[in-house]
Amino acid sequence: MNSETARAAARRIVEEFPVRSAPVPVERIVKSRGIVLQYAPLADDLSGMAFIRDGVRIIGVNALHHPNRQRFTIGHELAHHELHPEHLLEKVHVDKTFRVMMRDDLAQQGVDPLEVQANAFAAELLMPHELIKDLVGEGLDLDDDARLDAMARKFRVSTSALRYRLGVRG
Amino acid sequence: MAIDPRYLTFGEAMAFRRRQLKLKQSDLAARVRMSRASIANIERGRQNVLLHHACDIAAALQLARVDDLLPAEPRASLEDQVLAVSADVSAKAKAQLTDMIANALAAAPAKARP
Repeated sequence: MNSETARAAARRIVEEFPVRSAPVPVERIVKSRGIVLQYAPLADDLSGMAFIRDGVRIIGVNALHHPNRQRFTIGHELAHHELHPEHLLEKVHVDKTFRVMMRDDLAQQGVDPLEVQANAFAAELLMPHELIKDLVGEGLDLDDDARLDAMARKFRVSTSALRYRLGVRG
Repeated sequence: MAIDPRYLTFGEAMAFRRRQLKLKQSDLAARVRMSRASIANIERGRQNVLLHHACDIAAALQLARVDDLLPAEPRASLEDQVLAVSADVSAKAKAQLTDMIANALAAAPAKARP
């Protein structure tokens, strides 16, 4: 398992659902997979959690965070369920603030590979290659803030998540 | 010997419910095949109740669950002790997570279960 296989897993879900247009209905996708989704106020540094108890797959999201951030959290937690559920049985997997802002590879050193994969999965799920390629077209200036803002609104993601996604080719 | 407060609570709940149903201690005793003295002692928290007695008493008092006679505790308390979390979080955050899990399990549709 690496980030590329994580993205491939997200693409399969996008195709299966299927997702045809932005924004990606991440909440419905999660529910369609039989996962119970819960929103509740959590301490600010907690984004969400993933856990399996008594066979019930659970995703929890911090209801106090911005809706776009909640969407990314849901994608990230779904990744944990899809990619490595065996890590969710013994302990509640909690996610503190994601490091999606860290675009260069150096910054990701020292970050748990499972989290890197979950971020890659979430970014691909919320901003699937098929939907983003037409918008990007021949090229996109990462400094064109107005255009990035418009795209982020369309996909209902934060601009930092979008920048992270676009920094990843593909 | 000091009485564990849980037996007091259990006994009080039991006596309250018995009076609600207008039963005498002897009536209840007959229904659960115990002595009236045992019923009196349990109601006063002076006799540690056995599990099968607790079940029989709850049923005789027309309660669906033995729970109804047990002291109310915050739902999180028991699970708090066993909830293992993958990262360091505050006790408050742990309680929030515990509630979240309890709510998720309560909300889980039958099809989410294996």
